[in-house]
Amino acid sequence: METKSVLPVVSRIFARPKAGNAPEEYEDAAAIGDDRWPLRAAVADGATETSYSRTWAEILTEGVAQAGVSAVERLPTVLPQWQAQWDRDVSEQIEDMPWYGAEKAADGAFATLLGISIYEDNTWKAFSVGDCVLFHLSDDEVESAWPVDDPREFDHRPNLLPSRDGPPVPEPDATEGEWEVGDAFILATDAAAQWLLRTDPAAVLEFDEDRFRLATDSARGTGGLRNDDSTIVLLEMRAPEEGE
Amino acid sequence: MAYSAEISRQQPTAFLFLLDQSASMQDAFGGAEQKGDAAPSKARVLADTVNKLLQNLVLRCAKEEGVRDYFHVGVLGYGDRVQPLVTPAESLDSGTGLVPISHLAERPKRMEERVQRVDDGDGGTREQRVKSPVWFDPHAKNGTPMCQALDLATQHVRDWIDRHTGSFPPVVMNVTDGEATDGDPLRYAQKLRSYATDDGETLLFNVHLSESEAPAVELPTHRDELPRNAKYADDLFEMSSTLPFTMRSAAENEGYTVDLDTRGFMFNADPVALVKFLEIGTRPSNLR
Repeated sequence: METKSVLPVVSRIFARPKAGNAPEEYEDAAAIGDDRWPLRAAVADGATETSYSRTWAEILTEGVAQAGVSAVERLPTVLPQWQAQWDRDVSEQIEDMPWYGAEKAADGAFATLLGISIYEDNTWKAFSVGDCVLFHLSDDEVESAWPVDDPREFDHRPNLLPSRDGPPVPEPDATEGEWEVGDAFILATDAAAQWLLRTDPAAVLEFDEDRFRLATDSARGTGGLRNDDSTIVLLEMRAPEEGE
Repeated sequence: MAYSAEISRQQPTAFLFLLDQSASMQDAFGGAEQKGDAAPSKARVLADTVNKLLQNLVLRCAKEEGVRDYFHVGVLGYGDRVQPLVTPAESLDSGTGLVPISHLAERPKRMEERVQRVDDGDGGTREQRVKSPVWFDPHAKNGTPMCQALDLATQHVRDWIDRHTGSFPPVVMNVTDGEATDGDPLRYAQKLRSYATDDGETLLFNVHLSESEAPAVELPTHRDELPRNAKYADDLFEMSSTLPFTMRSAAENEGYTVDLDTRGFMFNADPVALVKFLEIGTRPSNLR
C-alpha cells in the first residue's frame, strides 16, 4: 500500500500471486510515479511461458512511471532502451545456468502493459498493449472501461511487448479524456480486470489489504476470479485541500 | 467442460510418444527430395524431430529458477522389442514410466553441437554454434509390435491417472510407418482411450509416415478423405481421438480447417506435417 502526500491523489497498489505459487513467482508488476504532475502509473503482466518476465514487467512499469512515457508516440524510442536494460539484467543471471537457461532467455520475455498519465489541467492520456484494463470512475459509476469492456473478450492470446529486438512489436492502443475531483482510475491486469468487469469496479474504492484479500479469496473460490496473478492500482482524485 | 483443466505443477499433464522402430524405418520418406544414400531415414528424421520436440517442451517449462514440472513425458520405441527411450534416475522413478520434465531436462544422453546460420542484424547471416540435447538415437530393426506398445502405454497411463485424477488427461502420440505385426491395434487403442481423468478420456493420436509419393491426408474429419481400400488407414483413423478445443485452435493457427469431428490423425505424413502434428498435439491448454 502506498499513499501520496503532496499531490491531491490517493493511490494504492493491491497485488496477489496466483494461488499455489510462491510470492517470488508473481509475474505482474505495478508502479506509481513520483509525487508530481503529471502523475503516472502503470501495470504489466509478464507471460508465464517466458522466463525473466517479471523482470521485464518491472522494467516496463518503472519505465512508464519514472521515465515519463506519457505519449504513446515515445514508445518506439524507449522500447530499445528498456530491452537493453532487460538484457543487462538477465545476462548476468544466466551465465551458470544449464543448457535450457540461456536458450530460454534467448527467446526473450513478453508482457502486456497499460500506462496512464494524469495532468494537472484535468486531462489524462493512456496507452495499452494487451489486455490490462483502465477503469475511469465518476461518482462511483464506471465512465469507461478500456480497451476491453466485456468480460467475455479475454482470450489468453493478448498482444505482448517483447524484451528482445526481433519479434514484431504490436501497435499500442491509445485513449485520452478529462477528469474531475472525486473521480478515480483503476488499472488492472487481465484476471482482476475480467473479475471487475463481471462485478463492480467501484468496490475497489473500499479496499484495504484485508478486504482485497478476502474479496479475491472468495472470488477465486467461486470461479469469478480466474486463478492468476492479480494486480490493481487505484488512483483517487481529491480536491487540493484533501490531499494531505 | 472436458479437456479444460488448468495445467500447473500441482496438476501436470502427460505426453507419451510411441515410436515405430521397425526395419522399414530405415527407408527414406516416399516424397523425400533427396534420393538414395543422401536421404535421411524415417528413423533419423523421427529421432531428430522428437528430440527437438522434447527440447521445446523443456523450454516451455523453463523459468529463471529452473524447469517447472508442468509435463510428465514418456517415449516408448517399438521394433525388435518395446523399450523406454527416456528413463528417470532410479531414485526419482515415479513408477508410472513417465518422467517429470525437469528430470528430462537434466539428463540428456549428450549435448550435440551444431552450426546454424543466424541473422547478423546487418542484413547478412553469420555462423552460430548451438548445443542441442539428444535423449535417444534412431533405431530400426524387425517388426512392428504396435499392440504391445499400446498395451505398455495403457499400463503407464493407468498408473499415471491414478496419481493425477484432476489433470488434463494424458496425450499419447503414436508415430508409425507400417501395419502392426502383432495383432489388431484397434482393440488396444480403445482400451487405452477408455482410461480417463475427471477432465476427459486419454487422447490417442496417430501419425503414419509416408512410404509413397501419394499426398498426405492431414487431420481428416471423415473416413472418405482417406485412400480407398486401405483398411490400415481406416484402422488408424478409428484408433484416433477427435481434437479437443485447445488443439483445434492450435491446428487453426497452423492453417488447418477443423471441426468437432476432426481426428488427431495424419496419413502419408511428410517431415513437415509430422512437426506440425506434434506441435498441435502438445498444446493441451495454457500453463498457469
